[in-house]
Amino acid sequence: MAAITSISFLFPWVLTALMTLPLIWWLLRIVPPKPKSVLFPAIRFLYRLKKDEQSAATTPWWLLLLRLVIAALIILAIAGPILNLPEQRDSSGDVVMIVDDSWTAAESWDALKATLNKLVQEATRQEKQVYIVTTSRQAAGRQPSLKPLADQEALGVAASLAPKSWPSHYDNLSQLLPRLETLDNPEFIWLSSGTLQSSHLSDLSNFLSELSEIGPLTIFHEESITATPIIGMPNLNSEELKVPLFLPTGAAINKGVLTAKAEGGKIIASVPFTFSDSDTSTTVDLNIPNKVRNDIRRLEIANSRNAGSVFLLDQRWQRRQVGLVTSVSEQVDQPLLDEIHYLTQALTPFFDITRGTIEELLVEDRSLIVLGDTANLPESIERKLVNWIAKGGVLVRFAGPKLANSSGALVPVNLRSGNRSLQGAMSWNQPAPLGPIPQSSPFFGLDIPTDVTVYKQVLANPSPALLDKTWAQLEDGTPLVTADQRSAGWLVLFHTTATPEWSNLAISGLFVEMLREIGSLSQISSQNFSDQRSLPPFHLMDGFGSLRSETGIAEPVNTAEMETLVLDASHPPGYYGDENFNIAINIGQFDTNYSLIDMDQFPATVRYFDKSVVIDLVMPILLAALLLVLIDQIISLYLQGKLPAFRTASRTSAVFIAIAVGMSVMSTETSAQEADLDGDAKTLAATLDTRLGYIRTRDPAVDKMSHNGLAGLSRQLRNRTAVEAKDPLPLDVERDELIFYPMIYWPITPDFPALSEQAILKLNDYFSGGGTILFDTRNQNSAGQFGPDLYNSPENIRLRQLTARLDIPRVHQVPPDHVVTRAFYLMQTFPGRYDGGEVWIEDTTGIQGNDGVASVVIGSNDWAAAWAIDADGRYQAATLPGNERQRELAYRFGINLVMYTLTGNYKADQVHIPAILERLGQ
Amino acid sequence: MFKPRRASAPQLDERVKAERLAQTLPPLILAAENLVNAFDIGVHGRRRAGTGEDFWQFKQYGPDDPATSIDWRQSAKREHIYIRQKEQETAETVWIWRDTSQTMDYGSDGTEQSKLDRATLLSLALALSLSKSGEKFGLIGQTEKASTGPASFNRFVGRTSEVQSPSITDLKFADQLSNKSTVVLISDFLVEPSEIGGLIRHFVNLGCRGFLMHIADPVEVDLPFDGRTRFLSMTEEEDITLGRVEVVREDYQSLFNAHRQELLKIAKNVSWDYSFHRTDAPASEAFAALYTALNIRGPKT
Repeated sequence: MAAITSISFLFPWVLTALMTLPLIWWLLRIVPPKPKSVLFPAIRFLYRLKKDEQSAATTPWWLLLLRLVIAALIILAIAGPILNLPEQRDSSGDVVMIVDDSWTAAESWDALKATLNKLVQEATRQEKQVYIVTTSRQAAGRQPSLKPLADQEALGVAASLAPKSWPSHYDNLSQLLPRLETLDNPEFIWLSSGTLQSSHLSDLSNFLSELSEIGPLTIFHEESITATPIIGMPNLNSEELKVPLFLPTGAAINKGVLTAKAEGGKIIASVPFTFSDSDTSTTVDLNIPNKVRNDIRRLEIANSRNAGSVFLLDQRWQRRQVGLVTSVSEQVDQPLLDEIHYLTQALTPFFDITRGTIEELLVEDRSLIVLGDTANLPESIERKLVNWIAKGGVLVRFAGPKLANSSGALVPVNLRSGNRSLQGAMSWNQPAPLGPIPQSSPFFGLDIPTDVTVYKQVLANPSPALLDKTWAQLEDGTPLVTADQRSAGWLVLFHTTATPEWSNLAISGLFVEMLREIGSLSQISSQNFSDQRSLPPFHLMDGFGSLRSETGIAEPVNTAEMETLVLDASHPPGYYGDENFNIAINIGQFDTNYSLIDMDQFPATVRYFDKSVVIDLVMPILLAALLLVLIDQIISLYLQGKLPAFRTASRTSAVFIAIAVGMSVMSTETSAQEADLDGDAKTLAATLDTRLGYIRTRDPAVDKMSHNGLAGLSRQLRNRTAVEAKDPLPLDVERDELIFYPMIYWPITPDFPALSEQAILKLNDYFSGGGTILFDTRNQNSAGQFGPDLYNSPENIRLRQLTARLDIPRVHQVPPDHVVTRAFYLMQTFPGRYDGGEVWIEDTTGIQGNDGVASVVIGSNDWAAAWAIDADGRYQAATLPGNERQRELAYRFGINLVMYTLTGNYKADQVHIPAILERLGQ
Repeated sequence: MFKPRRASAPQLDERVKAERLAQTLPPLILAAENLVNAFDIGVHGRRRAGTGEDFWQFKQYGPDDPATSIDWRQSAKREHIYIRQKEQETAETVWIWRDTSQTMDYGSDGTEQSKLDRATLLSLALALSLSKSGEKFGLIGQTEKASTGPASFNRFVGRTSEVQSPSITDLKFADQLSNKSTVVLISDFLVEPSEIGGLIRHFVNLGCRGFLMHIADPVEVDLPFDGRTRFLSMTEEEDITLGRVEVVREDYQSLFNAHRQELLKIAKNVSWDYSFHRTDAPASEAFAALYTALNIRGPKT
């Protein structure tokens, strides 16, 4: 073992005491152990015995060996053995440890920390003064400090160091040089990550050369420096996210996987990349469907743990949001005449649409609002819109009959009243196709299909600026889309309708692309959306790339200064802002030129990180010696005969212990052994006896209650009726066969997983085959929390979702003369644990099959809890508000229901009526 | 070198010892009764012609026989004249001695009773049976007069619990023994055989018959120890340590047997009876030996 070869002793001269071991052996030999003592009356005969056969009493040889080993261990312990002692330097004086704790050190941080710990321990043992200096960039205006550390302080600092998420800076450290020169016989140790910004390499070499002039310098670095690529600023165009990656020069690895992760760490996409030889940058294209693109929160390089291989995304890279103005009353009857319909269809591929009135959209701070054909807007709204546009919003308006007849406010160009139409005073002879797109327009480059024609449009008054404002035009030069930049925002007008009424632009693909281009326009403007905002730190990234919410000494960031920001202790990477609006700052946004440091150029001894831990062996050896002494004592006692007799007691106690252990093992076996039945065993169990089933939810408490409830009901069935129901079985609605169970109990939980197609089919088969499911939402107790009834409670919502595709015809409340009110007991209310909930049953009038037995019973009274008994037969849940009478009624309901499902509708026969009437006392 | 303290039984006060013994008496009495009831108790005959009631023998008529004792029936059957002789029945006096020295107060792990308890049991059983058959009994050195009857048994019991019995050496000075009495010595006889021989001769000189009941603990007989063992003496003698007991076991056993043989020889010499009893054997064995040797007969009707 390597560990054994690296044992060293602090006081090797003590080991000479091992030579005395033979002396100890000789001493122990001549001192025999104490013999057994017995009382003996007839001792006179012993006196007369011949004594020649008595050999000298000796200690048994193994006892001797044990004692020698104890002595040897004690001597070893005194000599102070230590494992993995680092090489000792004989100098005295001060040690200055310069630790590279920038983000580049995060990958090799464990080794660095272990080495630092060992060096600090070594220095404190040799009683040298320790100084620790970190190289990450300080906050602006702060000077690096050189503080002498006491022993414990040094160890504490070494243990608490963590890599920072910003780069190092060596220029500042040069300010420490005068101080360093005053130290007493200093020695310098530099623990380096091996990678540095290329622009700082000269600073570094200056600093190190000056250091080496003051005292000897030792450099520690990782044996093979791992440098991971740095993610640069991704470029978002409409379809793809282009992510540039930069590799530090000289790095060994050249390939990896880039992953895009969502909020909780879920991986949305992962794309492998490679760097070609001698190339330090590459671009990765992430093609992600729009639906999920908004969920991406960070880009990461797989299997790396530093801040440079993480890029945080904020809303600048998210899918565009657009606000669509709708009026309060929506008429859905004739969608094809509605412009909202066409706009929605056109915007959906590239935008997330929010609908609402103008005020609502303005309140939500949208950057792009689309307004259909409107006449005049109220003044206040118009003012608000104007302000909003001035701040950077983009408003897209569409023309139509209403706009044509309005006064023409809030339009980019002056409109001539009276539209041009076919067969009008000013009209085209034929519908006009589109002409070329002006070069200054954002639509430039789009493909113009030839079949897009315009019948009717609103005209603009000619003016000198009209040409600049035209974004699209007809063949004869009439502007079709005009736009005007108002301060920071845009006002865009489509001179035709958003419906196919005036042109077929609305149903063409060009329309979709035009809107997309307008959307990217709004994206850019939203970056300047709010000027000069100071964003406080929200979540900051630590050196390993994970987000923390402690902000430490980070200061707020001004949006205007984002371009010139320098990453340091007061501006670490992370999210700045608040929950609603935040900006991400990443290492990749700034200087991404890194390179590996060539250690050979420095006048210093270079060593590798040493991950082994220094272990002090004194305590373990002493403990071993103590243990052996204890064993020796026990053996001596045994030889003297003083140990208590174990013979008979041990056998019986061993038997008892074995029985106790066996019983405890057996009792941990689940009592619900039948719940673990599988496959054929379960089928057999289900078919050989009558069994009720319950649907297994993912919640163990609910499942247990269902099981116990149905077990209690089965017991009552066995006691009171001819139904010999055995223990209930749990069912997985996806996997198990349902048809074996006459009645299935289904407790609804709000997070029940959605049913697959197969499950739906199975349930439908079950219903048509005559089975009955009792749906129990169990939430009657919280009636009133969700409104007048339980319609909006989460369980009911889930129930509706689950049963949406089931083949259930109408359900109605149990009528007073329904068979289930007299199937076994006469009862009108069906309380469970709670009382007062309504019970809905399938309306089987007119349905021929299944003897008219309902397939579905729905209620909220939590029957399983009322029926539940545990293994000892005790009731598990109290009934609210009633007493045991309510529980009895709950049992009666259960029995009625089971009898109803098993026997059908025979109790509905008129034959029984006289008996029932008699029973009712009439 | 100073002697290490011995871890031996402490020297008990006489009274404490007696009290301890008294505590064991009630079960002993019960046990004694059980023993006695198992045997057929009878009045002891003296095997000689005398004035008893039991037929002894037919003897030819001689000049010194009274004429009234002629048995005419038998004489008619035969030629000569015969006298019917009855057995001499006298109440036997049995003097019991029970050794209460220190070595007797020892019982090893494998036995139920210590030697002392066994000796007490046997003496009580004997006394009980003797009282039932109407013979006189007493404790040597402790009761002045031998008597019989339930009252004297109670007194016997009382004496057993109260007073320490005399040691072997002191027995020589017990001379209230009348002629023709029987002496029963129940002891472990862990003394020199010569002393016992002297004692017995003393009794024989007084004209007594006797019985030696040698009681020993199985540990003393077998020496079942192994390895290095230190033997502690119960009297004031020195301890002895043996390195390997198993080696000397045979020698020891032969020494012990030799001791037994010597006692047997001494007894045979004066035609006394001798019996050896181990405390792990049932007490009834020892009592049977006693019973048959003393030839105790059923109760007087």
